[in-house]
Amino acid sequence: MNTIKKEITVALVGNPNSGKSTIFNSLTGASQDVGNYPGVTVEKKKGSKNYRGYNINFIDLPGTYSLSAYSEDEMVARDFLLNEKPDIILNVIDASNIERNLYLFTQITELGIPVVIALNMIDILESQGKVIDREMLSNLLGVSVFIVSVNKETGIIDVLDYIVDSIEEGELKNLKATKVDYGENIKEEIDKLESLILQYPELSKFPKSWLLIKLLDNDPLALKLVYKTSDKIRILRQIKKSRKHIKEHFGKKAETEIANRRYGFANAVVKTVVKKVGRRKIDITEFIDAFALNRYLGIPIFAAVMYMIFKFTFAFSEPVISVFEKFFKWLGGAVGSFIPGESTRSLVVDGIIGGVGGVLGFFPLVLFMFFAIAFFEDSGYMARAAFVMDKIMNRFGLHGKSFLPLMISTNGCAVPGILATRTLDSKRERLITMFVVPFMVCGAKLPVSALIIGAFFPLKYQASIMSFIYVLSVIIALGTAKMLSTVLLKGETTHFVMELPRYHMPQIKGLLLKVWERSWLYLRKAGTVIVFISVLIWAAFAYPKVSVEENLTKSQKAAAQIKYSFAGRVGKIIEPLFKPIGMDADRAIALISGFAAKEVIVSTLSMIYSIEETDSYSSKSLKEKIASDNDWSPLKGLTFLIFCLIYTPCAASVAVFFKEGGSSYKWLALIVIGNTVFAWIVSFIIFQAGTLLKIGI
Amino acid sequence: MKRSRKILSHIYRHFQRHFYGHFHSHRVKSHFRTHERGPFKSCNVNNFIRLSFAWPGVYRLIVVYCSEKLEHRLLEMGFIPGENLTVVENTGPKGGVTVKIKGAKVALSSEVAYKILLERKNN
Repeated sequence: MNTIKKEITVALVGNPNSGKSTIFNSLTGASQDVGNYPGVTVEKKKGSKNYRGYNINFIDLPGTYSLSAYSEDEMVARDFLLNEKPDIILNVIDASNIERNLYLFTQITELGIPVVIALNMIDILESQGKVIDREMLSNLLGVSVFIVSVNKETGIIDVLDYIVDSIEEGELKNLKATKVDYGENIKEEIDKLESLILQYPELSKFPKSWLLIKLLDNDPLALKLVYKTSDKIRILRQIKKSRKHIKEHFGKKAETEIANRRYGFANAVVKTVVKKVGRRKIDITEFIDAFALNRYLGIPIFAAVMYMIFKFTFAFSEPVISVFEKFFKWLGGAVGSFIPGESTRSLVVDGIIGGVGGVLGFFPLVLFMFFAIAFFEDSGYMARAAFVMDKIMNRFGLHGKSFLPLMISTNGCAVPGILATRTLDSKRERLITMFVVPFMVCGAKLPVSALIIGAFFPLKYQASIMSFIYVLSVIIALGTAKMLSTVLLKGETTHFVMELPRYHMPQIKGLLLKVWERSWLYLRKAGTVIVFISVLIWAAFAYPKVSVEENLTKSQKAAAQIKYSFAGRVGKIIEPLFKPIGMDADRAIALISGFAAKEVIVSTLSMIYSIEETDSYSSKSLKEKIASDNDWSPLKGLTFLIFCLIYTPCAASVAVFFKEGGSSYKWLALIVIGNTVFAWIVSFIIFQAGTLLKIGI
Repeated sequence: MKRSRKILSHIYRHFQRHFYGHFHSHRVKSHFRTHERGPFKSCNVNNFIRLSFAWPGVYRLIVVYCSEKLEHRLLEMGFIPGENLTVVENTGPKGGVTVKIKGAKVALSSEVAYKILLERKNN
């Protein structure tokens, strides 16, 4: 039997911040498979390792404090343990915080699955001047305990050996894990319940000790199992009676008493196992927190860290991006020379290579941003940052962690901004944050602002108008967040209770793995959609072909083509819609092209006005052209700019938003159409008010 | 000796309040006064205080008075009645509270902290 079964499934369970992921990484190496659990945003991590002829599959379950049903993470962890029954559970325990970690252990043992304990972070315990008696701990808990250190790379092999040995010799030997003694009274009630439940075969397939305690605990998921039975009323009545009895006896709720017992067990174990021998060294965590959580210094330090992330992301990715750009330009030229037909060449070069270049153009940015975020996440600062910002962001229905995506989007790019919302736990707050991130003035909106402000405002006021645009974008983003949280996504804001982990130096291997996982998801999920949309937009501007006279210059030809193309005609058709906000067909066309990417707006405008110099950043002639044109005025320029600021985000952001936001078409429609309508209303008010007051006409 | 220590501690508390933000303490006091007849009105004892108003120091947790979900979450993080906890930093109603409980550091927003009742330890 054993020789046939060469597959072992090991589930890694542990508290958040117990170093579970680092152990998982060193167990499996790079052979990991990341996906989402169906229906939830919780990441599912799988990895495998070949060891002594066995194929060991490791599942990294999300970090939880218990196996109840109050958060998505917990539900995922317990559903996996209950339904898929791994061969063995590897419980990762943080030695410096052993009491709370053992609380989870007391629940795992009730599941009746063999458990091994990996004792992590023993060096932190030693720096506190304490030692732990491993043998004693192993005897008390009735399971094997291994001291694991990822930095020194010790203990991992022992764990693997033990797992394989125990599978080869039969699993029975570690089924005697110590269970918590809940005391006479609770035990009596459990016995009463047990005799009832044994009559139902559909309930008896679950671990008995787990189910009984959870029923007394009033756990919603365990109760749901009872609802499915034929005679639920009898069981429910008994549960109610038992809970009442416990409450009368102890003077507190059953769940409090059960938690109390569990912690009592953990406490007793810790008292016998952990001994204090030396003096504790200076705690670096306390020292840093004295500044990082200080009431006055907290926010400035937070701002400094955010600025560092921002600076790091853009300073390091810029050279890489320019290399990428050059490469794709070269590739376009090289491929173009091989393809004979005019239209196929245009499709391949402008459509496909342009689209792929667009996706990969973001890639270094995303990579560096994920690295910077992962660094601060792993070092333990992100929990503090969320805490520091929580009060301010909470007013707008956002979470403390929402600040980072908004920051990355400002002057940066909305795509990594939306991806950065992954650090948010609550689905609702995450959706709100993703929705408002594209409102910020991103790097691609800068050329448009530079063009309009440069054309219509004297040099003296340009800086203040620009900062006004920034402030406006923040107001719009936070206002929309407030509106969404009060109208569309009603619901309680999650209570802020968060453990602040110890500061420690992140492991470079873990960082790189994290970065790779996240950025690969981006490439796979959003990349395809972005390429598809850019080809579509290219087609809208390239077809149908206009027949031009020979004597025109190249730029005039391009202008004629745009006006004749599908997008150009649409622009002409919807011109009446744009009249009330002071825009003509030309600007409507430019705005349509802006859906591909916001920086395209400027180049489309210069193509429409058939200006030779199409370099968007230094197009002085376009600026002069706009400034002198009768169709433009300062007011019209400002409305155009504000419209650009608010209307539908670019295709890349929309695609990422769609994929990250759970592929909901309702939200897709809202962000594309809703934002455009919103932009129209705002522009309408500004334009009409300006016209009435005769400002800047 | 006892008397001098009393005076010293008085001076120290005065000093602490002054530096911990005079206005903050004033606001907290008035806030506490207005909400005294809240859910804890039966606990009209001097030694009881909500976590959101607690100065840094050692306290004993009496009760958590909130929704079942939050209560459960707090329970599993170690907030069980009778447990000792240390308030590390309290940044007032516009910030939150950091406490040390069961050897771990936990941050709570002041709304959550408001729902937790503590007893001062006499030391």
